[in-house]
Amino acid sequence: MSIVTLARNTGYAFGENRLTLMAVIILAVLALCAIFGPTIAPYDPLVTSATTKLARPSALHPFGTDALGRDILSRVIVATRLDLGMAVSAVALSFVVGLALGSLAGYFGGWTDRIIGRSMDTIMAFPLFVLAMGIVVALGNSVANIIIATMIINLPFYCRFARAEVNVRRELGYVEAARMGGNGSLRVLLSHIVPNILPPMMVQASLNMGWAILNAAGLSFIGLGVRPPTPEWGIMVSEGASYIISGEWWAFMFPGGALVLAVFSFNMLGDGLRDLLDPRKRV
Amino acid sequence: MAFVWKRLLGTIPSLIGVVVLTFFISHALPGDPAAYFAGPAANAASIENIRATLGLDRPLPVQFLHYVIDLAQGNLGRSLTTGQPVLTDLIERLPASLELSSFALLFAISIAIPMGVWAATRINGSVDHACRAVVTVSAAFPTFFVGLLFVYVFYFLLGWAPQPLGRLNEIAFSPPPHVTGAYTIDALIAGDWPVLRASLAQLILPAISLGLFALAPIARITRAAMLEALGSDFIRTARASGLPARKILMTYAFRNVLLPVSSVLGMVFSFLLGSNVLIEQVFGWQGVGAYAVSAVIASDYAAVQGFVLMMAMLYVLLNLAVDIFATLVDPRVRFEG
Amino acid sequence: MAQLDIDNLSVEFRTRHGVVRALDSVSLSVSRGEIVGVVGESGSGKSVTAYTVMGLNDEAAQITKGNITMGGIDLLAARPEAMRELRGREMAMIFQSPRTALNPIRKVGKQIEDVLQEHAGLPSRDLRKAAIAALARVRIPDPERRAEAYPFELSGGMCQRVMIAMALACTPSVLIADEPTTGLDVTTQAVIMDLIRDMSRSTRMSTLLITHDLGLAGEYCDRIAVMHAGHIVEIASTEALLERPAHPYTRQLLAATPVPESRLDDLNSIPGHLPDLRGALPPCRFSGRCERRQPICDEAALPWTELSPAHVVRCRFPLS
Repeated sequence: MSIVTLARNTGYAFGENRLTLMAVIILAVLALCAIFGPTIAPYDPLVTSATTKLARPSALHPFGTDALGRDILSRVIVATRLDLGMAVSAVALSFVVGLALGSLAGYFGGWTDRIIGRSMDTIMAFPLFVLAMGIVVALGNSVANIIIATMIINLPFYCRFARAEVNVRRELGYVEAARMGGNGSLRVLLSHIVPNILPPMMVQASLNMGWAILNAAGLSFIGLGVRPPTPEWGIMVSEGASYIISGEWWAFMFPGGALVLAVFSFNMLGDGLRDLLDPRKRV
Repeated sequence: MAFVWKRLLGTIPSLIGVVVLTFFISHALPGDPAAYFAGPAANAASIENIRATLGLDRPLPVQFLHYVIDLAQGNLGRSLTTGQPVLTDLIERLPASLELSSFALLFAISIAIPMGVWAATRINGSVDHACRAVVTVSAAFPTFFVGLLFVYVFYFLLGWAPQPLGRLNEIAFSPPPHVTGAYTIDALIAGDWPVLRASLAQLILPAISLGLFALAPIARITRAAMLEALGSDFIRTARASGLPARKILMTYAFRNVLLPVSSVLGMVFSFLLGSNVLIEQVFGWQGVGAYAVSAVIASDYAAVQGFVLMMAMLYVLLNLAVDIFATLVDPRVRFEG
Repeated sequence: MAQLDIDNLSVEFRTRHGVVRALDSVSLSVSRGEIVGVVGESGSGKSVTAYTVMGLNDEAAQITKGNITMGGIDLLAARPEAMRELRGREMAMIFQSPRTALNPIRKVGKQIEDVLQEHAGLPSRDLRKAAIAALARVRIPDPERRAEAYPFELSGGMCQRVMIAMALACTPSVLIADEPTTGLDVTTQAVIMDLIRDMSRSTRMSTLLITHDLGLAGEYCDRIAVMHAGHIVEIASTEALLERPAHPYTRQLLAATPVPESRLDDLNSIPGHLPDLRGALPPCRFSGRCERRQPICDEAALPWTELSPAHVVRCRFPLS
């Protein structure tokens, strides 16, 4: 891709497609919350108060307070680190492991390919969220295990993607040339094939982030992983749910809204990145 | 019918995979099942005791053999919370979940396919924009959050929907005589209209919140496949042969869309079975999903494992049904085998 | 009067990047039982001509002037529904790559029945028999069995015969064959072309053969029109055109057409590209590629030179 087309595509992604720009801004804000959360939060997210239970949103508490009188805004801000952290680590893990397994399968073929392929098929034979539930329950109910479970259910997508890309590139002229030049298999794979499949995999990863956030939040919504009183969006929505039928909407709405905002921004960023790298897929 | 047998045989590796992976999850992972089975109040001695009774001290291959023999006999263990065999619990609650998921799927398909077709015939029209909006929104909203939003809007604010507390207001109505286990269908069979009405009223919000998310992928693929079909050479031939527009759209273009649509159904089912858990939790729906969630909270290990296994089996069967459907729609699939 | 008469036709495409003047003052007629070839490079306007006749151009196409009549019917004035009824019954078209031009998931017999049902006015119990008869007419062996086949089960040549059977099912008076042999192997090409010729002769059908292959047109056509950049540059009887090409472009095309006795070294490629059909164009759209170009070629309007009543060339300085 020449500099000119890259510039033009960047122009498209950010100029014609305002949503991408918006997504980047929102993600920057979320990143700030994730890094400085506890410092910028107006209140301590864990401090309860018997006098301000379920207070409506006000100047004092812009997002209101929850059933224990904790400030919801502060809890939403502080939760950013945990929610994004879980999703980012899960995606990063599936990226690395999926890339490794997929490259091996695609490059060596034969039994390596069959065993890895069959394992991925087996994961895909489960409804993925249900499998994640089973894994967390079996491994033990903790945040680390939510990350592992989310990593496992995402693994097949990265693995298959990497395998297909490696398979195509294995036969290309420049790879053939590198092999003729006396480079070992692993060296050819690492220095000539993998670098070329990284950009499309990155796009996959950013498109996948939103889904990873939803999965992790879904698991904690049903009571897995994160324990109260830790602030986390999924568990906050779950805690707020009990008060909907009496009309106290803010306790579930704001953490839920934060989830939507984060997922939406990652999806838009992913779309924007895809346009940038592969304008043909633009629809 | 040979191809049906072929597909049936093709599911065997998936089933084996499912059994092996569930075994692996429950027996070979670093978590300690004996501690789980013993429950939170157990001491070291009682845990050892349970380990021995469950056979968890034996080598893995032996354990696997016992696991498979148990499965073959339908023995999924006993639930800590209900005290019943897990299989009995699951079978009792499965109809409720199937009722919810089927209505959700029905809702999704009956909206998504006409929407996708319409959007493709009028690119950039209002339906096309609506289609894209639904796709974008449903990719960003967690199912459970949308379920709760619906409860807030349609129950609390508008008062249109009944209180989200399960499948039927059992204070006002008694469930219809058990035939299929799905209240709506049983009420229909019994001819009990008030109960049918009441159970439909309970069903509609959870089914729509669940269906909304199945709708998006179906609508998107329908639109894309329809666009591709409409631009294809054989549609040009059909137009050059002076076939009427309706026939071109339905018989020529739309039937060619069914194959790509059936190929996303696998993903849609995976999603439905997973999100069912969340939606049942939100609406107090007494299905297998809600059962699994209470099992998770109570660390009722056997119940969760049984649930995972049953969902996986169900998913394999659904994929089989999709495969057979695809074979019926597209002769090329039949011949590739 | 000719069965198909295209008179002074101009077509433009409104695109985002400007107006493309795809056809300019194209006139061409085909009598009953006659096969007329339209030859040119891709982008010369051959297919646009065909699609305009059939009324199948997309919405971006605008007919800016001219007339098309078929058997006395004014096609450009006909309502869309009337055009639809004519297609398949009075005029039919066959395409290149027949395997993708047939519906992949419908039995070929059924696809022919669809056409018959729409246009032939047959009771539905006779449709199947008529479809099999249509397949038999294009010399498909064992037509009963082939009617039950899906396109992917048939060879390319067989699919093209099915296409022809479908096109001819209602014995149209005009057939447009758009590169009907592209993508078929050489022996099959000859079989398909023989079939088209025999069908045209026996049903007295007016056939327009659209091809980039002057050799093929020379073998099967009665007359040939050479198109370049939306202009017809020369029309003549096949013999005259091949023996005495008068337009420099026709001569270059001939030089670029392989004949059995030529060697690869004898083949010439045509220099230059088709001009951009957007914006201002010289009167002679070939002048940019022409070695005989004079200053006047780019100034005065382009005349039609009549070498004989049946041989016209659109060049100020035709070859002798």
